[in-house]
Amino acid sequence: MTVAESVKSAAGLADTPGTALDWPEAKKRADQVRKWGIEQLLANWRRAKGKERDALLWGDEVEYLVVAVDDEAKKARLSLAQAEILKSLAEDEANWKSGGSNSIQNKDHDGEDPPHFHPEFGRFMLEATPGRPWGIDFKDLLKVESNMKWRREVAKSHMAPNESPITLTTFPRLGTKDDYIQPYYPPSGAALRSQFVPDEIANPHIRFPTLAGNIRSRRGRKVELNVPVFKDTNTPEPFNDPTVNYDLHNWPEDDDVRNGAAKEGHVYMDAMAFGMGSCCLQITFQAKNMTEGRKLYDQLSPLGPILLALTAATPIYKGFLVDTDVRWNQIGNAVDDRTREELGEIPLKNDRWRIPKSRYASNSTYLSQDPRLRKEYLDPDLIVDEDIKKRLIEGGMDELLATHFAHLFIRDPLVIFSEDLEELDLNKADHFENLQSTNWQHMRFKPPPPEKDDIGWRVEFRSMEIQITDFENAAFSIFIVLVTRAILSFDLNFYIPIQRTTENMETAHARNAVLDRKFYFRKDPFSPRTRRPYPQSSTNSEVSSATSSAVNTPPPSPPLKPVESEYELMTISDIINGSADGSFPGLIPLVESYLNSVNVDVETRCFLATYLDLIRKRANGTLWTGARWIREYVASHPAYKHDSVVSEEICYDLVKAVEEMSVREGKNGSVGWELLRGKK
Amino acid sequence: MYGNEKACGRAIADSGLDRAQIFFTTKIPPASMGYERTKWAVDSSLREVGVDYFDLILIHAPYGGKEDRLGSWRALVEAQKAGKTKSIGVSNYGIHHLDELEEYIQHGGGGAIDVGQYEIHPWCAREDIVEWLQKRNIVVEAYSPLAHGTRMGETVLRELGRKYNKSSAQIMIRWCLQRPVCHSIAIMKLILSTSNLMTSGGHTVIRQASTEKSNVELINSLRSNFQTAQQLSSAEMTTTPRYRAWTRETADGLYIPAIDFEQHGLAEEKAQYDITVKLFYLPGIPASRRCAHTREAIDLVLKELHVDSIDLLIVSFPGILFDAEDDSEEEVASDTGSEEPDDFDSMIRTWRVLEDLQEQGMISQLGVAEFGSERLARFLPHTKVKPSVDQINLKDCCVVPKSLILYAKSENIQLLTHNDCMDILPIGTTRELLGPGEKGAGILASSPDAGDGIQGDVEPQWVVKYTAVVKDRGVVENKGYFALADMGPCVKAREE
Repeated sequence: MTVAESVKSAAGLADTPGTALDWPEAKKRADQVRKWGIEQLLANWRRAKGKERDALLWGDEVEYLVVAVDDEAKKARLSLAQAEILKSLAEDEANWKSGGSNSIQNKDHDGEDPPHFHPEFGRFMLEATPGRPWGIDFKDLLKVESNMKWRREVAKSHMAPNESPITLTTFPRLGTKDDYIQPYYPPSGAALRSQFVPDEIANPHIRFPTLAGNIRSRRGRKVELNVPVFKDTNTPEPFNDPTVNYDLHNWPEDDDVRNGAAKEGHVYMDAMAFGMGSCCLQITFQAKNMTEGRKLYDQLSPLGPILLALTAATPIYKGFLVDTDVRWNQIGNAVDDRTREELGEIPLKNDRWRIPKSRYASNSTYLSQDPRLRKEYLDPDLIVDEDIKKRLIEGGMDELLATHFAHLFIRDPLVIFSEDLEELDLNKADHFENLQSTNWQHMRFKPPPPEKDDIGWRVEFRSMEIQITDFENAAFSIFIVLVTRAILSFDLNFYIPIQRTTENMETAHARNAVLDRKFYFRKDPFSPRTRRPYPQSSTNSEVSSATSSAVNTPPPSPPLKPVESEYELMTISDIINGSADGSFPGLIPLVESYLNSVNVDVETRCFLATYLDLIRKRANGTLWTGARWIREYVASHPAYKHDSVVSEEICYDLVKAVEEMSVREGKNGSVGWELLRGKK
Repeated sequence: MYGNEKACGRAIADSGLDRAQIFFTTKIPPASMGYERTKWAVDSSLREVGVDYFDLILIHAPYGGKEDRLGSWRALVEAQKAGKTKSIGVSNYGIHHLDELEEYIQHGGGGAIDVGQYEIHPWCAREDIVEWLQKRNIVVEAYSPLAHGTRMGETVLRELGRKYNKSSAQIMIRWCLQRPVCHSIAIMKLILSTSNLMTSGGHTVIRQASTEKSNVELINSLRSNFQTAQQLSSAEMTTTPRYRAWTRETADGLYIPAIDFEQHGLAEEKAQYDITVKLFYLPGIPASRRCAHTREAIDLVLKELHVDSIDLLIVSFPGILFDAEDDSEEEVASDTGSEEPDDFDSMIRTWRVLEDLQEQGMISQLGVAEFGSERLARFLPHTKVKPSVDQINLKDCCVVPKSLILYAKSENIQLLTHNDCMDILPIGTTRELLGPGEKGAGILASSPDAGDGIQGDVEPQWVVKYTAVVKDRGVVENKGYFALADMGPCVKAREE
């Protein structure tokens, strides 16, 4: 999961990036990195705050697992061939740029730049983005799905014949005892110290093992993921994860399980790879200016948990069906570098704060200088670094934005290269990005990169789970794009207290939350009419000057109602499709109303209708989520013993089914029709 | 004509009234018939009275032969275009003169007869002429409704007068009023507007309204805009009638609600926007008025958005409904089946008007709505400027006939979608919207004797929808409607 971003946006994956500092050393330099990062932010903010009139450009990021299928042994394994595949892809792209012919060329994609491929944390992962960002020309929207399919084809053409990219969020048997990776490496390496996965599971670039190692060191023990097991009829009771080895003595961290790290009734995992090895669907938008970016950041934030539940696709961990449907908290736990003091397990002594959330969590701030933002919506217990906030405000930044960054900067930088600490370059953003991009919140507010004049203020929407087919991935990407247009066009207001969004994020984890749970949502998304009255004409002799001033002054706005009365618990179907009594309009009707106000050609509108239909039906239960489909697939598999165990055989068949689904998309009753078509 | 122009001008000046509150009619006397003479007569009358415009100029009588009659008409049409008069008409024309003029107008002469003035009273009912005029929705103005006072002693008047306890004159006026004819009162224009729907609090976002007959978006947003304006106008203000507090009467008509054109406009310069305007010609309104209506509508939009041109004008002719199932537009009658679908010739004539505006640079591209491939094929040869857009209502299904897709592609016409309904502003809805009831705006009088509103019937003439979208951001910044309705004792109520 987009951990490589810190790499992409900062130094790049240089072959010799320098000397990465181990934790005790890195900790000593943390203040310097933060200070320099803040100075870079201020310099960049001053330079870019006036940027105006940037077009809507947006991009999607699709992440893949690379699987290798062994049809003879009926086994599906993760392939660790990322490096070779990327190398081959890069050669191809370079070749394309120099005008040579190669496998990228495709007459269906005339005029489209070839897709970009990026490394990810997992050595079994790939990330692909469109070669050029999308615009808002509606014809562009039609290209998204075919471009995603093209990415898959291009990626596959650089893999071994038995390998393919699939878009499951997690590999069902990552971390089991068998040979689930190819080539095979035994677990328990120096960087991860995991009893389930080898160090070779992670990208070998020095940045990644350093990141994983420093998270573990800072934390003082291994990361800890306990996911409640799904209790089926034959699941042992009590359930104690049978794959945990209590007798390992390779590393000091092997004591963790003996100290109670593995919880009863839970599937236990102990490495960053279990979280950062998940695939997501992320969308980044370029805003017109900083003001619009801040507005979109705030307004999209309450949608994060809703879209997380709606895209739920993660019901299996480490070979067990679990009782949660989404990946989010597992990634949060997998990169949780908080110490016992910060976690509140022991009294504060060396650390500065108790910190309620992992670096990977729902976001905790609102940014927009919007009169509709009430102080009651803000988190009263927000942890900020007051010195940093002071420095930002002294530097001219407004309170809200300064608070946001002073909140992100409560964290320590995790990967520091000693060479970068020699001189502060205010024309770069490396130190700023060091913290910014290791704050993995569900929204991200991105300043323009200092070295690129043509990029504006951007907002990233990060909560969605990757979907099995590109049809679904295109549908959700485009839906979010259209929602942003509706937000800006109708000036929608989705504000709720940010703690409710945090709670919603938890709610979204429940099995079948999409249908069974309710989420806090704002009741009235519209702003009151702000029309000013027309001043009476002076020729109208009946109106004296005394009364005309009264006419000019709008009546005082009604006193604000208590914040609690502004929102209520709603079903996802109400939020997406509108409530039955019409009190909440629904995101889809809002989007349709937007589409009815712009010129859309017939073909595009029909395409968009199929996307909106998918989302409408996911929300009302006509179509299944990926999570539900996977559960049903496992439950109805002949080899399943109703003991929560997803065996190698089931995993193999599941991967084959997912491969087939990504091609046939549930058409004519083919596999997956329940989540794509709703009828055979 | 009657030697009182100067005196009238003085009276207007002395009254202290706003010029817009006075309806001033003058006439072209028989001696001024013919193009040049009429032209001169109009200018000299304006000078004489000392006003900028007349509300109505009538040709007094059909003197002078065909050439002079039509020449005079041409001069009046030009005067109207130049803003020297709001409306034009004829007086004392016989049916054959009216036919002659109508033929001239339809074959490129231009203009539209707004008013026909005749001596009408119970002893001179002129039923044939009244019928001819009313068929074409031309205002019938009666002079000498009291028959020059010569008939006051007629038995029938006396008997009726006893029965109702009214004078003979009152009986005659009542007779006149109860006929769909008016007495020296012309129409008043009501300009209804929604203001910007995008910031109006979401009254217009509706779910799956494809089955709705009337346009919920338009009606809701008009109603909500009226209500907001009413609420904002001070409650203590005691204007009578009440609506005067939040509407505004100008030379163009009565703005409901009042609009301050200074306040609106777009946030960025024109080049950043795609401005689309859709004009709905309404059923039952004579095609001869479309030239004037089109200008009126576009002028309002330009004024509202502070721009001098628009990117796309789509026109919707009444009664044409494209049926996706079988690619033959159905010619759908309105509710009672009494409306004729728009005839082909009048569409072509309307298109000429649009082509002119396009040529003047006011509109970049033209479009039509609900045309099937057959109608397009018939229509295109008659156009100088081809429609670049054909807008189709797809309702729920996405079935578009292949023939239309192929034809549109070959002719380089873009097929766009819309979700506007057929009869966008029916009379009944308009009446309810403006009426005295709970849901109404209190513009119309509550009873024929009440002074709390305007008396008479209301007839919607056209509706225009405008949308300004920021091009490279896809943000709808401004969207709204204007609708224009004629109002007055003589506006014939169309049955619904």
